[in-house]
Amino acid sequence: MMQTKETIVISDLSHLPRVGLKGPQAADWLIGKQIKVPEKPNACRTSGEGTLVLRLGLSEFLIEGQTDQLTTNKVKTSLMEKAPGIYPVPRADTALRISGSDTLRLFSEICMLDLSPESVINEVYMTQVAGISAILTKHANDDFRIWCDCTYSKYLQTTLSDIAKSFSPMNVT
Amino acid sequence: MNRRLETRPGEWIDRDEPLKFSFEGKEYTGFSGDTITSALWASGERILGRSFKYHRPRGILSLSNHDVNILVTDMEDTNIRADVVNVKEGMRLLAVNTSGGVKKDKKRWLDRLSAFMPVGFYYKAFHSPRKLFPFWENVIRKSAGLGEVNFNYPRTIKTKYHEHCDLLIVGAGTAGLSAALHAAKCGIGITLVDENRQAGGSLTYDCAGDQESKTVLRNLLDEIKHHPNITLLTGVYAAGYYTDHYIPLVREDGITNMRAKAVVIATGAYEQPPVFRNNDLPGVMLGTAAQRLIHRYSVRPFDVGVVFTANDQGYRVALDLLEAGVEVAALVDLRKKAASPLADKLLQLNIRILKGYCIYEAIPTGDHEGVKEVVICPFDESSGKPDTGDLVTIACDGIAMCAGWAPAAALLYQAGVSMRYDNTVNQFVPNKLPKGVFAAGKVNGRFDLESRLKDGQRAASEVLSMLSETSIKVVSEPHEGNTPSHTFPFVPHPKAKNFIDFDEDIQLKDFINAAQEGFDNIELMKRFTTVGMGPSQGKHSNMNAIRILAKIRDLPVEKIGSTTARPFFHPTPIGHLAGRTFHPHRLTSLHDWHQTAQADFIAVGAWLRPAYYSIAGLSRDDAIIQEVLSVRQAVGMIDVGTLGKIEVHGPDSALFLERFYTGGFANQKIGSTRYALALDEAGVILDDGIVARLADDLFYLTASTSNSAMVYREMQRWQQKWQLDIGLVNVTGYYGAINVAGVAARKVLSKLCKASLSEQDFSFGSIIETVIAEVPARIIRVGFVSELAYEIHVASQDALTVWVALMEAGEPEKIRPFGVEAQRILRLEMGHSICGHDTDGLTNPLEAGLMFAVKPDKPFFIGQRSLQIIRKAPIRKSLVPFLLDHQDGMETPKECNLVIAQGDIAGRVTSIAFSPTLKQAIGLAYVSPELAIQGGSFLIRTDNGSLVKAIVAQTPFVTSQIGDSKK
Repeated sequence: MMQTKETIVISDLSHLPRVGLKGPQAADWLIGKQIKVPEKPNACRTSGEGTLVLRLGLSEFLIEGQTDQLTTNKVKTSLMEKAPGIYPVPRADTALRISGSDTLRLFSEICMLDLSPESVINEVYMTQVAGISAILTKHANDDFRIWCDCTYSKYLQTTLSDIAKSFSPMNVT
Repeated sequence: MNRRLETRPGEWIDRDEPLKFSFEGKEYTGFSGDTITSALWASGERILGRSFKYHRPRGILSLSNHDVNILVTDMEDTNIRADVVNVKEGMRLLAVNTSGGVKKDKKRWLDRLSAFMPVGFYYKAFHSPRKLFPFWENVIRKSAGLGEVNFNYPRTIKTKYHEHCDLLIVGAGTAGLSAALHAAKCGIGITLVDENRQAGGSLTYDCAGDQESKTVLRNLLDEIKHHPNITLLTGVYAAGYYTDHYIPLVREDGITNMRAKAVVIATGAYEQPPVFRNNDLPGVMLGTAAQRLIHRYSVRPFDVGVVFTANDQGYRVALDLLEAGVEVAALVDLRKKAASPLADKLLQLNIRILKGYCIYEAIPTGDHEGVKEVVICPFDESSGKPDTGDLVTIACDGIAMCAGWAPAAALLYQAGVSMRYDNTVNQFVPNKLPKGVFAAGKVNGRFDLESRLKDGQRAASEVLSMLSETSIKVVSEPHEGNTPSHTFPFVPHPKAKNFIDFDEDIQLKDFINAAQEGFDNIELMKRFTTVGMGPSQGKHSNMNAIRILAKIRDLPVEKIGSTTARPFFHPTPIGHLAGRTFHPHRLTSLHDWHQTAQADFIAVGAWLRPAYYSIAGLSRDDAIIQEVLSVRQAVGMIDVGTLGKIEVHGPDSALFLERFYTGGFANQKIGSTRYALALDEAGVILDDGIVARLADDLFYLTASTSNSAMVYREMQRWQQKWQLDIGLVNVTGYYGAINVAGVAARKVLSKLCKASLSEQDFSFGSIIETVIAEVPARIIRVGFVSELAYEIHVASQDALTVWVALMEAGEPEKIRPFGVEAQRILRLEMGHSICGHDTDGLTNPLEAGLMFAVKPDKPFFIGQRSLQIIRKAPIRKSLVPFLLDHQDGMETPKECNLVIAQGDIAGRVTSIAFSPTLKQAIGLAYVSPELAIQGGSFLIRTDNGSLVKAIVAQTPFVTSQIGDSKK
């Protein structure tokens, strides 16, 4: 975890268990497995206590275990059996949590979207962050999540921490 | 001489914070809040700059950002706009574009030669002989110009922010403030920006000798403070208008890109100078400049002044001058009939008003540092001519000029607003506004204080209506009374020096000459005279230029039109445009290993890849040769995790690939791979790769490193159209990939792989899913860099495990990693072309020799129809392999060197390299079809101009692993 003095905290959550799937039957398939999915595309919700479900468009999902890997393991196992209209999406994400009082200021530098206090919470944005494609969710005005391809991990973390450092001296813990 | 006035209400300077600085080596004192110009003028300085071409002495013209009379350098930054940049403690400043200092500029003699240097003289005088033009160009560039670029300018990061608001109001003057207050009552989020250090616009300086303006301003600003939904930004200018109300706001330390739901442009108007001889002398300034000096900086513009006006504004200026203690020697009004409501007030103060008069010329002091007197005479408005039979001289040391206005409409033009010429105000005003764009105030032709306040409310009410907010409709009435702008405030003089564009030293006669030369269209005239092409971009000159052209052509002004005002509104430092630059680079999961192994990296597409691995004691080229030879003689290994990797799932996956690629895939066997070529609709090569079939309904394919994102995007685009029953999954980042190549590749890999790799069980073009080093893997038998090579695809998180295991297993065979440079040589030896390297944006498969990958008779593939048409026409070029007929001392050609046949260009080299295996240079080149005969030869022109013979060869250049050649 990297943090600027009470302004920006960048937490690397890449280690969390993650599974992806897509296909026209994906939503129904997940519901059949008692996983609560967002009703609308480009939204996210928690399913049970330990799982975050992101609906990336109409028929693609990213599921991430927050406190355990029961759900993600269950989905992974089920995906090994082929089902019509369901395709596994192997995930290799760098997953970051950005929080702290200067979070909006940071995003104002790296993202063109309106993430101001008035903007909607728990929407999923497929957008550009610091020049790379990323999935972005806002959970509070000072609490955001970013997922991007793991090959951009070093670039993104360096860029974010450089900007955060320019706000105030950095403490890395 | 100290021109600082006593403390005044509303002044922008802080007298408790004096500052010391130097200009041209002399020490001065100013106050915090002073601009460089105001501090120097307060200290009695007059010559603050030299003009662009004739090096004439210059002082204040607008005291805003509407002219560049005064540009200075602090030796680090250049072209600092002294009129608007605040002075800082310890500044050491010099005027730009001088030789020997601003007062004794050695190039001031150029002014005497001005008759020989009209606009465009250099086009004619130095056009021939052509060989001498570089000499003259050098002379001209040194004589005329702005500041010198500091190539050691420190790199400082200018931040770029992205922000959003409901309503952006550009201009915090009367109309802008009024609009903000009216709109704010509905609770919408408003951002109000103004380029000045303080809000208020003309309310801060245009007072006409009383306090009404300042009282109105104080009340407006007090009210603004009570609206938390209004964000007021000063010292920030709106630099341009882009689609969907996207407006960059330039701050001192960066740019805020603002996206608004609606925009109100309340940018006001630029005051335009009347034109008379010597209207550029130090001490001759716009009326608003004099007012700014007085009210913002508490500086007396001059001691004894003459006001030359062609509108009612001059009367307001005269009252302000009087209030500041200036002796107004006369008010010279170009208009004979129009009566100003303030005339009586001036007459009561015993000010001489000369109606129907003009300033015929300003007479300079002996040292040309200022004005000594003015010569006035009657003026015939209908003919536009002075009556020089009745010349009168008035002594003075300054002139305030008021002739009219030009709307600050740059953003409106950029937003696509159509403008019309309004004869009641003699100004262009918005005619038709696009949705979400509104105009208010002077830019909309409203000049009186009350009408500007009302017009701001009217614009705000229209905004609220558009945003579906409840609002009472407000109507603002058109302008009434005397027109604020004169139609032709130009006084001809046989000795000229009556300037229109102060940036470029353009005089009245230059326009007449340009029209006589045939440049009588505003766009042509602009380019010939360069009017409006200086740093001010015509802010103080374009409207006058239009009026002159209208007069010359005897047309109404609206028939002349206006030029386009492009972003940015003011010159903006490149560092601002660059901002915090993002250079995203993708790294494979083996990157750290490469780094430890002394890899030298290069950017390939979005990736950083090892170019080669440096070895102590070996040069770069020798290290690369060693890497090539290790593959040819033993075994080498390269990280190809950068390849694009895509899975196509679903019942229609084969059909999708049949359509997307040129080849056949419907009958492709499970466990096999095929070369795949993708074209665009024009039949041009997009990319190539390998398609592997893993199941009836699952294909795994690769795309080239540089094109993988584009290929996936194109696949998604076509799937949107075709709506097939497939699922596209981009697994580029998920899978790492390693290519093990060379004669010992099978031996090394077999040690770790559970599956049989024998030629019989795993032949060229096969794919197996197996386990290697305890890691699940897909292995493809490929032949890009070597006849015997394996591409191992594993989850990227496992790639390092496999890589290290392979290095250990290959140690007895002296395995070594190789980089992109060796890979390029190895593939060239194998005779393989690279899409994007050996092809360009026009290359088709016939030219690139890739028709073997095209199945022309299948029902459909992208580019099929174009290819059918292309095939009917004669081929224009062919990609051929070649060997150099090398002789000692001969220059080796480089990529992109031209193929020459009979003195003409007949092609170009796309790839060339020294083959360590063959010990000679080999390459690929496009040549005309008659040269593409095996065994034939052609010539390549090298960088030094010599011609080198190349012989058309056959591929592969290297036919076996031990390096036999097939020439």
